[in-house]
Amino acid sequence: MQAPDNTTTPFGDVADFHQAFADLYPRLVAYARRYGATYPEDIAQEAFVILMQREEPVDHPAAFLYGTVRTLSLTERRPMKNQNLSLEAVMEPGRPPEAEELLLSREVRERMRTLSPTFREALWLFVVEGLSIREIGEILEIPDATVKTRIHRAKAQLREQLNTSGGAHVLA
Amino acid sequence: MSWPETACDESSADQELRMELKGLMGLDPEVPARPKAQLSPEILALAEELRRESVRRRHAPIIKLAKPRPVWPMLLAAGLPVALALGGLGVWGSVQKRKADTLAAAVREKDAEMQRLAKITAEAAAQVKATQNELVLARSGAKGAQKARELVLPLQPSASRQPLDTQTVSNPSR
Repeated sequence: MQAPDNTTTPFGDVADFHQAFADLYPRLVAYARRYGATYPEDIAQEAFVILMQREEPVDHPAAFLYGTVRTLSLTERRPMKNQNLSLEAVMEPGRPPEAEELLLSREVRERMRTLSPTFREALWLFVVEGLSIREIGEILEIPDATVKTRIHRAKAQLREQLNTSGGAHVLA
Repeated sequence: MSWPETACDESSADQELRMELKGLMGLDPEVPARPKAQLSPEILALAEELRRESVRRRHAPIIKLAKPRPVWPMLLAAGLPVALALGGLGVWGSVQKRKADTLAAAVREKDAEMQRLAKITAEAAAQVKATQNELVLARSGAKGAQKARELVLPLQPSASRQPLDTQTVSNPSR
């Protein structure tokens, strides 16, 4: 097997890597923060190094980075808490993540919080992070069909909440 | 951006679904999910540092901090309970065999004693029988000899029991 040279990266040449790093790094930090990571910047940087030092090429580098950040965040929290963490506990940190505050209105954030954590995570990755169904399946280690089901159920629940509360201004 | 975009390999149905969900979440459907970020000097420096670190790690020799542990202690630890169990079973079996041998010897001894006693009893019985036979013979012999020496006289009938057809006469010689 031919060893990759120093100028080739999973994103292309070095310039492509720089651009991808600039695009993805803040998002990965925010994603690690969503999982309650104590050192989200370190986790995001470690994910990049792990991706770059791989011998085997990766089909979806962005999905690999998100998946690595998720795993590192969860494993960082586990020994510190010394307890079995549920996804609900992980996805409900003390204060809302900054990315949600910046992107979503307070009303939508409240609605998102009523969703199941598994639905909410799939929805966030699909809509806000802009990842494909296949990438989300790789990150969460579930089949693509399950990702689709979760997104459609989240959509149905959001629509139902919108109808009951009459949130027309959200659409506007 | 020239690095592989997510939306490139996405179906139009998925893209429409994303647009719809953006509307439901109050996001502008026209704003791209990943806006192109500005390349600041700090970001460039950090990216280069991480890239160099990854190259360094890729070419760094893998140093095994711990020596490979020998296998035999594990095998010994795994085999020790089995060996102990087998040894215990062997000892128990040998004890049981010794007990069985002792019991069998006792039974054989008792059997021989019984046979000896039976033989003695049979001999004694035979001796008793022979003695009895001799005694019978001796008794019968003595009876014959005594019978030959005796004079059997008819009893004189008494006067009171004299039959009617008899007559008492006086003995003239007296």
